[in-house]
Formats: sequence, structure tokens, C-alpha cells
Amino acid sequence: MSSFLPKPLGNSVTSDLVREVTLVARGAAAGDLEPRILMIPDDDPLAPMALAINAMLDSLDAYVREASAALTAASEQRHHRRFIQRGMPGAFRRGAATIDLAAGAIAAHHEALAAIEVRQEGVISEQKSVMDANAQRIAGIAATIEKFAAGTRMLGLNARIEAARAGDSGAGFAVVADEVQAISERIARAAAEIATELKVFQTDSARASTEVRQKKTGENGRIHRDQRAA
Amino acid sequence: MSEYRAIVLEQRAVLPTGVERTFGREELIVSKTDLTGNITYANEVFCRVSGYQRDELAGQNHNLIRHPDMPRCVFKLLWETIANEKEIFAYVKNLARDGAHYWVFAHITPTFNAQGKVIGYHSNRRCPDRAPIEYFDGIYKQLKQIEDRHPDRREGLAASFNHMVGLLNQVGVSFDELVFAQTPR
Repeated sequence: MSSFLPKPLGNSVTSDLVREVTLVARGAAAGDLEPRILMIPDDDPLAPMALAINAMLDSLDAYVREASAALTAASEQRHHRRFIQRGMPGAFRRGAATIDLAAGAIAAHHEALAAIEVRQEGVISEQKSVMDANAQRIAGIAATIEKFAAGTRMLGLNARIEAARAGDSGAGFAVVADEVQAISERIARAAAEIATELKVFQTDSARASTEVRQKKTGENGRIHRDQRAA
Repeated sequence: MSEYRAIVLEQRAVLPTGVERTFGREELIVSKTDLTGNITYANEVFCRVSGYQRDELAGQNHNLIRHPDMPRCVFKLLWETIANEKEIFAYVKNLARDGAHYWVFAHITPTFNAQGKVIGYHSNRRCPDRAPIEYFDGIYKQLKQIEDRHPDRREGLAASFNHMVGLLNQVGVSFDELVFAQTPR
């Protein structure tokens, strides 16, 4: 740093000022926008220059502060915190307008994402409730079939008893009664299989909708991380 | 030290004249203070608008330009926010040396050193539009009235602060959100 400092001038007050100006300007060039030239004697011929450099630093400092704060807020979804263009002259204001536009685009993106999430959730829950209703209806039909099968089995049993009571003349009828019983058992087994398959289907559909929700949350996390990195 | 006293005494005698002063839309009033609010830097716009010389402002507390119309609860919120290392925005009515007043849209941020420690505060103030001035002037008058109703200063401050927090809760917004809602783009 010292090699950048100017050689002392004859006037010691001016020399001090030049030294401070140089330090502050070099600091700013190195990214330190905090220091200002503080010791500015009013009667120094270089005072206007020192004040001009302070004014330049104030604009730069404000711009960097605003740019950083506005974009941090946008990435954290505090969209009310904008880049305040007031107080920013010329190129600073144009830059501010660009950053404000970008922050607005990030806000719109977040809103669109949120809307998609709501829509997806609606579609999924709608589909799920339709499937659930269908499954319920099929379960009801299966239960009815089981009831009919039980009734038919009872009918077959009764027919066999009647056939036995009729003796030899009922032998042919007994064969039919046996068949009726066998059929009713097969129907009952088929109805039970439908009910089992239905249970598997309902479990699968519940798990699928949970997985979709989890995957969605993961994707949103990734999107937000990307925005923070950008 | 004697100079410091002289300015403080003179400031106490400054009576508001009701004359309003403004500054440019592309101008910034800039100041930096230490942790206790003593001014370490004031820019040219600050000097011009407040009517103080650079060397008069250096070392003075920032409340030198505090207008008696301002409710103290706003400054309480302001200090609490920056002490929590957060930025704050507020509309503030300031008192110039000659008794004139000037409204500013103030943005105050902590200044950190390389180790991330707060070493002071930085404030950029912009010239606000008429609509937010009218809006906050109304709110501040209400808060000031509540504050002045109590003979005990501390009780008055607590009452106005609670009222302000109640107002924000009623609308369901933070102070920041309220300020930005009133600030045109």
C-alpha cells in the first residue's frame, strides 16, 4: 500500500489530505467502501476534490448496499423489499432498475411455482378421491356377491337335504345341489380375491400420492437452493 | 469539549418554524455513526439540508436533528432493529438548524468489520414523496399524542410503542412491510 502513496508536498496540510484521499481511494479500489475522507480543511485548495470523492463513494456504497440487500431479500422471498431507486443518479439508477426487474422476475417465479403446487395438489387429491370412490363401489359389489354366494350355498345345502329326504328319486337332484354348492363356493372365493386385490390397490394409491408430495417438496428445495447460489 | 457543549445548547434553543425543506430526488443524505449514534461522517447533502457545517456535525449525536414532532417509539424500534444487526426503513421528520424541517425516507444498516462485528451504523436518506409523508405524519401525530399523555416519559414511550405494535398487528404486517407498502416504486 505504501508504495502507492504520493511523495510529500511542500504544504503539510495538503500533504495530509492527499495522503488520506489516496488511502481511502485505494481502499475503495480494493473493495472497502466504508472509509471516507474525514479531515477536510475548508481552506484547502483540494477540499472540493476530497468532497467529490466522498460523494462518489456515497453513491457507490449505496448502490452496492441496495443491490446486495434487494437480491438477498428476493432469494429469501421477502418480495416487499425492493431496490430503492430514489437517490440513485444516472447509471446507478439504470442498474437499480435492472436489479429491480430481476427481483420482480424472481418474485413472479416464486408465485408461479406456488400456483403450480396448489394446482398439482388439487389434481392429485381430486384423482385420489375419484379412485377411492371407485374402489369403495367395487368393494360394495364384491360384498354383495359374497352375500349372494353365501345365500346360494345355503340354497344348495337345503336342496341336498331335500334330495336325501326324497330317497332314490332325489339322487339326480342331489348331484345338481352339489354343483350349486360348489359354484357358490367358487363365487365366494372370487369375491374374496376381488376384496384382497382392492385392498392392495388402495394401499398402493395412498403411498403413491405421499411419494408425489415428498418429491415435489424436494424439487422446491432444490429450486430455492439454486436461486440462492445464483 | 467546549465547542460540543455550545452546539448542544444552541440546538436546544432551535424552535421549529414549520417551514419545510426538501432535497433532490437523485440525492442522498448520508451519515455514519459509531455504536452510540455519534456522527463520524456526514456528506455535503446532510450539511446543506440540515444547515450544519461538517465540523459541527462530527462527534455530535444523531439526535441533534431530531424533530420534537417525532414520537420516541419510532427511534426505539429503529435502535432495537439495528442492534439486532438488521436493516430498517422509516420515514422521519428532521429538524434543521434554522428550525425548518425536512422529511426523509431513511435506510439504516449496521456496518460490520472484517470479523463480522458491528462497529457502527450507516444511514442513507432519500427525499420521500408527498403521499407517504402525509400517511406517516398522521400516524406519528397519533403516537406522539399517546406519548405526551403520560407525565412519566418511560410510561409514555411504552404506551406509544405498544400502540404502534398493536396497529401493525391489526393490519397483519411488519413495520418494514408497512413502510414499503407506502413507498411508490
